Amino acid sequence: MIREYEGRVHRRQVVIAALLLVGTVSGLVALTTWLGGGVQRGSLPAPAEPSSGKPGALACPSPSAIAADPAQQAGASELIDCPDDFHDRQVVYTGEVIEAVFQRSGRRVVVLNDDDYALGPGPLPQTRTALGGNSGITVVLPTGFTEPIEHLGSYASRGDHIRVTGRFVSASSLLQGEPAIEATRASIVLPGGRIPHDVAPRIVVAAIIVSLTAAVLAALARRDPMASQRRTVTRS
Amino acid sequence: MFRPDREDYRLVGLYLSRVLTAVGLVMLVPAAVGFVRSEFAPAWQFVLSAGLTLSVGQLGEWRLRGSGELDHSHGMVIAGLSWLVGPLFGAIPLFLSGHFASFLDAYFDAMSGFATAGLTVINDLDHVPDALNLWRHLMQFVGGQGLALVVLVLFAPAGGASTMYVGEAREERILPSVLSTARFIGRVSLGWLLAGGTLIVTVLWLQGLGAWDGIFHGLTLFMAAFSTGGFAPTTASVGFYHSLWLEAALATVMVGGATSFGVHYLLWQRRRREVTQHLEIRTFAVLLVMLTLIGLIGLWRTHTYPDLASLLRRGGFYLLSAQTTTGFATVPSRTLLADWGVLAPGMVVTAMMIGAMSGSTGGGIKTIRVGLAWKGLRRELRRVFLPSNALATESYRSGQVRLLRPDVLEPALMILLGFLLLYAVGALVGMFYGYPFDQAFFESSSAGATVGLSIGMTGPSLPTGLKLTYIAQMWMGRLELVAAFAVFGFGYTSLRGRP
Repeated sequence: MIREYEGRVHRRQVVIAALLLVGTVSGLVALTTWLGGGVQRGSLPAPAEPSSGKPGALACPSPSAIAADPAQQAGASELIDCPDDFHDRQVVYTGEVIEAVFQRSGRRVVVLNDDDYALGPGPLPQTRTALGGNSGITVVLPTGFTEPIEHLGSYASRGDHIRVTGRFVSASSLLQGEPAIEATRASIVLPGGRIPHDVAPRIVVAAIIVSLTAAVLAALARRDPMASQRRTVTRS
Repeated sequence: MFRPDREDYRLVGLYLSRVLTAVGLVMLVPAAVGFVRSEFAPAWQFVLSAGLTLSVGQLGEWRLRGSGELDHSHGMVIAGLSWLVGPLFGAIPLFLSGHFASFLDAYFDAMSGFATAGLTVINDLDHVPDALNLWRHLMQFVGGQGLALVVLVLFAPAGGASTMYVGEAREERILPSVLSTARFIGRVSLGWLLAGGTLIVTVLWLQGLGAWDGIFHGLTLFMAAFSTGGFAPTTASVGFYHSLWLEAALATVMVGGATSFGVHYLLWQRRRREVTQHLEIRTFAVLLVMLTLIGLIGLWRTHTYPDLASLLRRGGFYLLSAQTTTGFATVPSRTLLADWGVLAPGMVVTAMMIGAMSGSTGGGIKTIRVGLAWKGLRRELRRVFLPSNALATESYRSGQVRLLRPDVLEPALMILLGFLLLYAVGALVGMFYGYPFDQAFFESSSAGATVGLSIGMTGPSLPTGLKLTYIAQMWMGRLELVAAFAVFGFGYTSLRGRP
């Protein structure tokens, strides 16, 4: 008689284990979604898919439309996607100062973001609304601009909003080839400020519970060093 | 493991638990930084994530511990699964932060982090807390060294994990034992951290960043550079700092990261002749010079930059970033499409596809395989011109003089072919979603070679099917395909099993 090998695993067991695994992962995702809900204050809308027309295509305004625009308004995406159309033109640009102010070639240099987090509802930590990635452009501030930039965009604060007027260059010689706006006029149009952050109580409670669980399991795992001898299955 | 039994599953589960324990322990670092920086919300999110990850890890350690020995196939399967399970738990703090629209998006970034790719679908990166940014970079640093290496260093007395090392695309043992090799790699990384980290932090201080910002940005940039990862603390990547000195410092660290740890060992032993004649070093240097030169000629022809200095700085750094598979950028991603013509982006794609040296933190086909393929081609050409009874041979230097044998050449060619297929499949899926061939191929090569440069496709609005495709590409590319196929085989044999 052929005796069945005790370590043998049947297909049914594998399928059940796989289903349990899928269930566990789904549970993990559901748990983190529920826990994160305390932070996100509602569901996050999915960002838009690429337009059904031509995903990835550059969307440049026609040269006549650029020339006819008396306000000379331009967005960072337009400037980067269409450098030839805007090169050496006067533009008016508004954005939020991000992270730091640098001194380069004797001028103050900043990155100004003009995405929805900067000019729209506000930074994601404040609004809990996902609106896509960031977009911004480097601006060389005018030498006469002496206003102090008090708030820099970061997790802690929303940066000051600066409106600049200046020449867009696709490869600035001041910054060795970087696309930038070399501004001749600048002003702070909206001061930034601190972003309030709340700690979700359910996250704290859950964190304490799982930390204690981990500590208990770690103690159990170290208390029983001979378990290996009992659990090792001898191969036939 | 022709037909896995309970002992096989136990061993696989046990070592995956150890990987999770390692991941959970690393999560405590951003938790601590969060509390120190008064970022209490993210700090508690990290405590929760670490607790969850450590609980699962310790549960496995408690219930699955045993005395069985790992064999080669176990190592391959564990390595392959580690790079799926590690990012799953690594995604938890990312998702809890609220900066990702779905758990899949958080998993995308966690995979990109551990695989040292650098592609990201994060929302509003410029307002993320320092703790979260640190975690993104820590994932890259751990992933760059290899999850197996971390397990080896942390759980060395448990032994047996050495076969995982091979599964993580590190074929070459630098020292006689895998454990001593792992320790050597750890020492090299620590040395680079002290030297490179200090250099980058100092440069950032001199370039105008404050005390904390200099340290934080410097360390995160170091981790991304040495791991050839490519994440950066801000959306504008390295271009944010507008600093030639920083780019020079990062370039040094990037080349260090892209250099095989075996070559580091030769340098440590002062075997300079071996280094200069090493096939991989020579191939890397020749390809870097050739591709950069052609790329720069392409940029010069398109008149993108006003002077030679700008051309060399922008083009040179970008091509080095591609060849080392780092993924740092100093020009906006869409500029490649709008202003770089076709030749320079073509060279960027070629550099990304080939990638760094084997046994380094880099990705791609690897220059040793290109070098071996070149030697094989030369041997075949010589055979054509030699008399029929003559024996055509080729040799190469790789620590010592070696004869080019079929058992070396054939696997190299198979992996090379596998990578080309990986890039092609990703491009095909991109085109299925309506993206033009050039963009689809660029992004697919970046994901498959774990580079992280983007032509503007990858972002929160990337279609779900493409996110899944790039996740698979990053995973397979990081494991150089073999361990990924071992996982497929493990799944198949498990299900085929006995009725």
